[in-house]
Amino acid sequence: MNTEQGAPGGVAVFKASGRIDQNTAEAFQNALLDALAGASQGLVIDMAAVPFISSAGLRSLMVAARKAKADKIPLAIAALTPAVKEVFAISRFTAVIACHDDLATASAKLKG
Amino acid sequence: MKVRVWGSRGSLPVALSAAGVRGKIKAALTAARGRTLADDNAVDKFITEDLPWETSNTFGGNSSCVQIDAGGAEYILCDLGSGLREFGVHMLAQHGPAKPQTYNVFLSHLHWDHIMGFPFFTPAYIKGNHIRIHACHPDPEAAFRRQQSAPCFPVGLDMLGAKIEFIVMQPGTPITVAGSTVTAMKQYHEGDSFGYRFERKGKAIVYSTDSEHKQENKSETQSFVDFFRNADLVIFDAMYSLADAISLKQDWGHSSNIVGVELCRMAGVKHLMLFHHEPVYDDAMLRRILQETIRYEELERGGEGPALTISSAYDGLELDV
Repeated sequence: MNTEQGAPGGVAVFKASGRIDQNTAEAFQNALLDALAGASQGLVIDMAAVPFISSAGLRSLMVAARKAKADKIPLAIAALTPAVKEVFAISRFTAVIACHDDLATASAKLKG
Repeated sequence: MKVRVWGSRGSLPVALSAAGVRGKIKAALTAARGRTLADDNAVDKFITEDLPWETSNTFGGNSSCVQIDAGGAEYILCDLGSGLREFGVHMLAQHGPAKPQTYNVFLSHLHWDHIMGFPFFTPAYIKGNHIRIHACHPDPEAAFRRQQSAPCFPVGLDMLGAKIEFIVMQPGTPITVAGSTVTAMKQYHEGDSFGYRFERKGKAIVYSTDSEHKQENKSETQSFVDFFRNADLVIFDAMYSLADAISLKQDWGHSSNIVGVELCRMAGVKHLMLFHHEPVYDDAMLRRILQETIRYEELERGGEGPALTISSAYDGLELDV
């Protein structure tokens, strides 16, 4: 997982990768919160390389969403893989964080 | 062992409304359009095989009450929600009033929806019957006395004809009841709740309702995996969506279908039964949640390991374990 800072003053992108489950969620959450701390103009979580996310990963996203709201940092998710999109629908997580089809759309929405 | 569900709804009993009945009739008639359905057999076959389950059936609306038939002469019940009334009617039809029976009850906790059926349990009014109420809370009797006191109910607990005993269990200390070994485990719920594991002749059934799984540390998760370990059936509180359970309804003391799948898969459980249904959900929504849960299990398993059987409890469901 890594974070790509956008243009100065722009929206940052956090690139998640791999299966996010009880074995990896803690590292995912720590990296995501670090990324959020340096993304005052907004953060897009790129999920294009995440084949599956379990409840542990969704809880990490919820922690990040709460932190972003408290710190008034715009947050969005982009490029869900088909399986993760299904998990989001089944868990009703689509109502928690705004999800967009691709990075460009998500970034544009955050720049608003 | 056999399980019979008498009440599967959470928090509050509900009933199918007139609009709900009309909707099912309309859906059935629409599906029957153009068919001859010439005799009763054809009608039965159409109902059973061609109509969607949510059209030809209903999940029912009684609050928690599950019978576990372990093969002994005495009865075992988990919780005394409104489903208990119908169980009592069934008992009288089966045994009549003159043949005394022993009922062993295991209470998850003392919230109203889990004890509200008791004042309407006809066998409790009949001398000779013996009702043994097991609970892990320190004074379960007080809740029953309060429930059957003015102004809540006109018949006090002391006026009931059956012999009623309250037995306080210790979590983690197995007891033998009606031929089954029963072990309780403390769960996270306002005022505490307790799950029960029933074991007999190599089979195991776990009743775990009104239990929130916060999964904040691995030891908490592992304790439930150990409690569920290799169970043939886990009856699981799946009242909320995961998103609701960890946001708006956090600390409301209930869990989700997704966590049910994950815990049961980790524990090597054979069959997960979704239970304690949200009262605002209709039959179509509960059926949709069942299909989604089956799909989540496929995604989570990723083609590796044995599949977990998943069903959704409904009032009247009977299951051989």
